This record gives sequence, C-alpha cells and structure tokens, in this order.
Amino acid sequence: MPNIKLRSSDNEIFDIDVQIAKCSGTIKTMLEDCGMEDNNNAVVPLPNVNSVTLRKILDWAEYHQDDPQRTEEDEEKAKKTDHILPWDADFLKMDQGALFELILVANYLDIKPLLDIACKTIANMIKGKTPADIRQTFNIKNDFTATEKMDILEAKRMVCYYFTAIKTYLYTSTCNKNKKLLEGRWTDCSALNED
Amino acid sequence: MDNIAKVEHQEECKEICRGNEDEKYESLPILNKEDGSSMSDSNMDSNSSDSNSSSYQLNALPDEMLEFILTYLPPYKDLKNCSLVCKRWRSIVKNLIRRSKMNLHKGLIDFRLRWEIFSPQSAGTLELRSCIPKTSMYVIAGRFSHSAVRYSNYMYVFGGGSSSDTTFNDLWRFDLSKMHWERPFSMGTYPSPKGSASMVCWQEQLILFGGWRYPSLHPPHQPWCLFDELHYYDLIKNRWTVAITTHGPPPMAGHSASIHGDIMVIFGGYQMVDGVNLNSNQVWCLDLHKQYWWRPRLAGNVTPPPRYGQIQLVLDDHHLLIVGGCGGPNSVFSDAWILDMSSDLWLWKSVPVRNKKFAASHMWCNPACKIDSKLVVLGPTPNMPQDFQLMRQARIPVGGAAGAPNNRNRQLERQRWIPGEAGNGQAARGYALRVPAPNRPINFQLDGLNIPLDGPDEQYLAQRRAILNNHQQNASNNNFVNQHNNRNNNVQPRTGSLRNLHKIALQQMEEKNHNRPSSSGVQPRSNGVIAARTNSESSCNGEEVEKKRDDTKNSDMEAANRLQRNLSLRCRENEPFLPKRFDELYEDPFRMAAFNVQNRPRSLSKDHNERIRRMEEKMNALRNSRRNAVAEQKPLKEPSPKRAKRNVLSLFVCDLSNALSDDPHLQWVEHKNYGILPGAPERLILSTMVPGNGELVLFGGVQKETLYEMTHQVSNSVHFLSAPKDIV
Repeated sequence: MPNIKLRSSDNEIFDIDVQIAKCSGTIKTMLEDCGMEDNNNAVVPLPNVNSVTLRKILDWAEYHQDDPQRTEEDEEKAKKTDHILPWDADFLKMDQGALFELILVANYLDIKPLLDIACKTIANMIKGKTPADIRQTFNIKNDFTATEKMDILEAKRMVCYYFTAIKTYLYTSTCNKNKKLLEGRWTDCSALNED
Repeated sequence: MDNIAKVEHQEECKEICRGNEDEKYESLPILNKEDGSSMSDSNMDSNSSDSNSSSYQLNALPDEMLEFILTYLPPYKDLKNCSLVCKRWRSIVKNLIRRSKMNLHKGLIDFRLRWEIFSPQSAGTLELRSCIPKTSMYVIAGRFSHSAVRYSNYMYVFGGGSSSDTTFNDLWRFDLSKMHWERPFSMGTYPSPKGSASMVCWQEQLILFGGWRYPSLHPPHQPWCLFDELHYYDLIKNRWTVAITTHGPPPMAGHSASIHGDIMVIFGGYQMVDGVNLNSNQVWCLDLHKQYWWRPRLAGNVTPPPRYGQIQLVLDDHHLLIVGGCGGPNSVFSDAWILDMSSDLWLWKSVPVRNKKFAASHMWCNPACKIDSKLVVLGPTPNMPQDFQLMRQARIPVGGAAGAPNNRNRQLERQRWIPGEAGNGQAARGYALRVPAPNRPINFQLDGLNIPLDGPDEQYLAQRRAILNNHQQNASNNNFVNQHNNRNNNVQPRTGSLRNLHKIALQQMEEKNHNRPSSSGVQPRSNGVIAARTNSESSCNGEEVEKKRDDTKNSDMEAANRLQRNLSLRCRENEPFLPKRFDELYEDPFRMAAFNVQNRPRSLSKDHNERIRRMEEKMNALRNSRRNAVAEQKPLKEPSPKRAKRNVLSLFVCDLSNALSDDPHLQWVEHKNYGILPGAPERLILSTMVPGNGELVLFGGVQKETLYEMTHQVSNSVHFLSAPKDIV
C-alpha cells in the first residue's frame, strides 16, 4: 500500500498509508486533484494543523480505517447523542482546548465521523446544564449588559403584566370591539412568549 | 401575573445575573495555560494555532460549528438554557430555531423527514440511564384514544383505552429534553377514566371535556358510557378541579375542541341526547373566564354533516377549520369546513379541497396537527401498485428445508393452495391441509419435522415454526375484543406485510426447487421469475407462490447462479403478464394460517413485530452469509427503505395557506413515495400527535388488524418526526 507524507504546521512529517489518509475529504481531494497519488515522495502540507492534533487524528483514522462508508441514512440516524463507541469516547477524553482544536481540524480536513462524535461529546457536556453551569464549564463570559438583561427579562414580564392588566379591563367591558382588541393582543403576547 | 411565567422569569434573572460574579475573575493574571481553561481574552480569538498550549475556548469555534454542536441538543429546555449564556449564543440559538422551523416546513413539502422512535423498553442506553433520576423510571402503559397536549418542555398525556378493555384516567408527562416519562401526582378532583376526550391548553391550564369509557366490569353488564364532565388541570399547582356548569352540552366523545381567544369551541362528536346516541354537528362554546356554556347562532343553512373524530384546527382567532371525520359505518368524510366566528352570527363555509388524490384516508382515527400553514395528517399508506402490496404478518418460511444437497428434497412436502380460498378456517388449523396435487407429494407434516437440523437456517426455520405453533394454539383461545371505536369500517383492503421480498427471493435462488413440476421437458423456471411474479400478484397469491420456495434447499450452483441473474434482472419489474404456472401456485397454509389469525397473546404483543423483524433480519443475514460462501456473485442490493415492505404510517400534508383567502381552498401536497418516510412506525390508529419545536411527536395508538379484530397491540412508544439536520 502506498504511503503518503503529511506535513504539519510545525514541519513534522507523518508517513502514513494513503487509504488512511483518505478518510479526510480534504486530503483525498488534494491527492486526486493534484495527481500526487503516484508520486511516492509527495508531501501534503497542512499548515493549519499542528503535529499533536494531527497525530491524534491519524490514530483515530487508523482505528477506523475499515469502517464502511456511511450512507445518508446512517448519518441521519446518528443525530442522537448516544451512539458513541466506547473506544471513541475514550479517545475523546482530552481537555477542552484539545477537543476544540480537534473539532476545528476535523472540520478543516473534512472528516465527518470524527467531527460528529466530537460535537456530540460537547453537546453531551452542555445537555442538562443551567446557563450558569454552561458558562462555568466552558468559561464563557456573560456579556449581557445590564440593560440587555433587563430587556430580556423585563420585556417579557412587563409585557405580560401589561397585557394581563389590559385583558382584565377589556374583558369586563361588554363592548364587542374591546373584546376583539383583547383577543388580538393576546395572540401577540403569546408569540413573544415563544421566543 | 401567571405563576409559572413568574417563576421562570425569576430563574432567568438569576441565570443572567449570575454571570456578574464571574466578572470579578476577569482581571486575574493568566496562571495556567495548559489546562485550556485560561481566562485569557482569547475568547473571541480566531482559531490560530500559534500558541503552544491548547488554549482554545468553546467560543473560539466559528458560529457554524457552534450551531452544529447545538443541533445535537434536544430543542427544548436545553436550547433555552443555551440562549441565556451569552449574547453570541443567544443569536446562534435564534438562528438555529429559525432554521429548524424552516427545515421542518421544507421537509413537509418535500417529504424529506424521518422518524425516530423512543420506546421505554429501549430506553436502556447508558446515557439515558444516567440522566434519569431513580424516581422516574416509570413506564407509561400503552394506550389509544388518549388526549395529548404539549406545553413548553413537556407533552402531557391523559387517559385513553388500554389493551385490556379498561380506560385510564392517569395524567403523564413526557419530558422532551430528558426524554423520559414522569407522572405528576396531582391533587384535587380527579376525572373519571375516559378516552377520546378533548384536551386543550389555555393559560397554563389543561381543559378536559367529554369522553367515553369502557364499561366497568363490576357490576357486570354495564353499558359503556359517555361523559360531559369538564375538568381543569392547573399545570403549576398540579391540581385538578372540576367545573360544574349548567346547560352544558350533552355527554359526548370524539368531538374536537380548540381555543379561540378566551373561548373553547367544541364541535361534533358522538353524543347521547335523550337516551339516543347520535353523531352531532353542534357547536358549543365555553366561556373560559365566566365558566358558562353557550351555543352560537348560526347564519346560513349549511352545516357540516354530523361527525365525530374530525380534526379541528385554529386558523386564527375567528376561524376554525374542520377536516375529515366519521359519520358512521362506511361514512368517512374528507371534506373541510370553516367556521367563521367574526361576526355575531357564525357561519359555516364549505371549503373545496384540491388534489384529493393525495389526501389522507381515514381522517377520523388518525392524528393530525397544524404546523404553521400546513396540516400534517398521518394515515395508512395509500394504495401502492401491486409491487408493494404488503402482507401484515411477517413471512415465516416453513417446510422441510433440507440443507444437504441430497434427495431429501424429493420428500419435501408441500401443500397446494387452492386459489380463491382466502383465510378459511382450515388454514387456521394450520396443519395438514391435504389437497391432492398432480406430481407432487402431498402429505404436509408440520410437527413431524423430518428435516435434518443441520445448519442455522434450518434451526431458524424450526424456531419460527415452533413459535407459529404456539400462536396457532393461542389463536383459538383469544377472546374477541369489542372495541368501542371499531365501527366495523372494514374499508381497508386486506393487507399484510411481505417483508423483504427480494431477500426471500434471493433465498429461493439458492435453494433450488427440486420438486419442480412434472414436465421434465420444461426447463425449470427460474425462481426469479416466480419472485417477480409475486411482486405483481395480489398479496394473497403472491405469498403463495413465494412461500413455497422456502421449502427447498438446494445447493445447485448453476441453478443458483442462473436464478440470481434472472432475479436481478427481473425482480424489480412489475410483471403481471407472465403466465402463471398452474402447479406452482403453491400456498403454504401454515403461513397463510399465521397471516389469517392474529394470534399473538396480548402479553407478548408489545414488541412482537420487532421480534419478528429481528428474526427475519437474522435469517436474512444468515442467508446472505451462506450465499456469499456459496457463490461469488455480486449480491443483490438490498431494496432501499423506500421499497421496504412494511405497512406503515404515511404522512400527508395539506396546504392551508389559502384557506382564508379570497378563493378559499385547501390543497393536498403531492406526496413522494406515498408518504412513507424512513423509520415510519407501524400502522397505528387512535394515537395523538403534537407539534414540538421543529418536530412532531406521536404517541400511543393501537395496531388494528382489520381482518380479525381479535387482538390488538397497543403502543406506548413515542415517535419523533423531524427534518434531517444539516451537517455543517
């Protein structure tokens, strides 16, 4: 089996089987389009990928090199977050930064399955957490300004207060026109609530 | 202010404000870079890999990636929490919601949706287990004719009929984000057990009205009864209250209700008026604040014919739409009416429906709901060409399968089915149905399995046979169940399921039929032809012809090759014109018997179909492996799910956008592939469907065998219909 060389951003050369490398759509396209397949000395430069991540990715690719091609159905079925193989789950036990970098590189190299499972892992980390927990886990700054916070909360609350008051008033009135007014406003309010 | 909204707002306030405390740490120097949790301001930095340490933040990912990650979350509470994290997330979540709505809408038009199932039995995956607190490992019992409403994160389900002739009065709720069932133990005056009641949501309350229930068994010989009870369930206080009203509507069930502003409008139903049961087309309104019933004055002479089980939708505050319904035995409506409530005199208008050929059938026992401007209805698959005619029961090959290429096949015994005798009692007995056939050995023995059990195939066949034997015996013991909702509308054609037609055909090709018809001069017809023909014949006959092939096993290589070649050439075509070979119209009465009698004991009927399907798959897998070992042909591609032979729920979509225009009409959207979407559930009636966020949630229902209403399998699984999410 022919080998191909990949060069990471820090100039480290990885020599791997072409078939394994082709799990990456980007590399596959590169090889096919540039006719590098026949040239055993070809080196594919990957300036966006550092060696650590590249090594990890190649490990994953080697383990999964015999996976059958995923059909569209498989992809659709895999939308729930619980279909992660144990080996993959183990593989993805790394700190967050490395995980995010892995995602970015998997996206750049167009390795769909790896991207899927990495994103699922992160989604699992988000699931079931309150916003504060999420902020803490991922170290995200809460950048709602005071006014915006007010806006989000108070807008809803004030609107509802307001409309409830109006509703009660209008309801007690026997005028048909007011009744219609009442109904109209209520619809708007509920649309707001759904946001 | 409404309590629940208040509580939510308070929580949100805390969430959003909590972040303020984090700000204190912003100014601390960066201590540890390696652990990736540095507080540096690389929050918004791009993905440069210049630093040695992996100091990537989640926020370093581009928006699309983040959105892609968030698509994996259930679109309910979790997504809402995400929108409160920070500004960027909020806008991403908004985008996501907008996009999923668009996707669902588009998916409805293009029929590019898929079903996913959640059944409590299968909720044993690791992840789910870890999310479920101990107290809520309840499993809801299967039911049909229940009432369901979605409210924020939950789907509330009440009542319904069970598989054992009783009615429920329990209230369950399904947490859509955690995907598990909970049972709120509520206080107050509980409603009586009832099914087919109408339940709607108004101002954080569920309003339940009407319904019927099975007769109670004690004291015996009671009639089933209809209710006119009105109950409110307060979602926040978790409390039932009953409303006593005067001059209310008569007891009714199968009516439909919807909320317009502050009134609940009820239409139709099966009522008991002055001791007489009749269908009605009355409109009743309940003023929700003042709690009184009133009947509107109707202008015009035209009212929709009386019906029950119709679909009622809110078009806007002053218009409601009625579609479908049932007016009695053999009278299923598929028309549409709009009730114009804008003036003091209400007016019914009949709305023409276009493209009726793509309409759903049976819009009285199948669920429907409105998504934006589309009405989504489920229903039985419309008549497909003979190609796809399905038989309900799974195919179970029978017969002595002698694996060894020996002359045992000669002894193979087959029955001859006399075409035209459908579903007769003789078949039900299942065993030796002896009909003399020329050139054929007759005695068909079933329990004398003089077949060598060598080879997994035979063992499987034996297994299946044993199960069938069991079923046969149970068949006679089954009680006839009189379902209230069974109106004897046997309008369904006799159907069944012919699973994996092509796979079976493939099996045939490797098992050459030794006992070919007499005429020695005649080249044995390829099994492929037979298989192809089975495609084209009616379900009944198709089964016959095909089934017999299973009886033989033969490793005649050439024939196998030839057959497969023929098969792959022909099997997908509709070939109604091939002359039928008279003596090949075999029928396997055993299988026919299995088909005829719905003989599953109720207790194990829950995932019976699943089991059969699984067994079939195993058999097919074995067969495939055997075939691969036997011959090196290119295996025939499995039929894509579009052609899968299952009797499933199909989707029908009706466009309502012109219902209120100057030229009011409804138009059914042309379905693709007969509305069959991948992963569709088996055909259920009397289930409920509620709209979720970007998806539709189907629950419950009963699988009704129209042929023999002896047993029915009630489902307790939740099915989600959603658009496939785009991959970044």
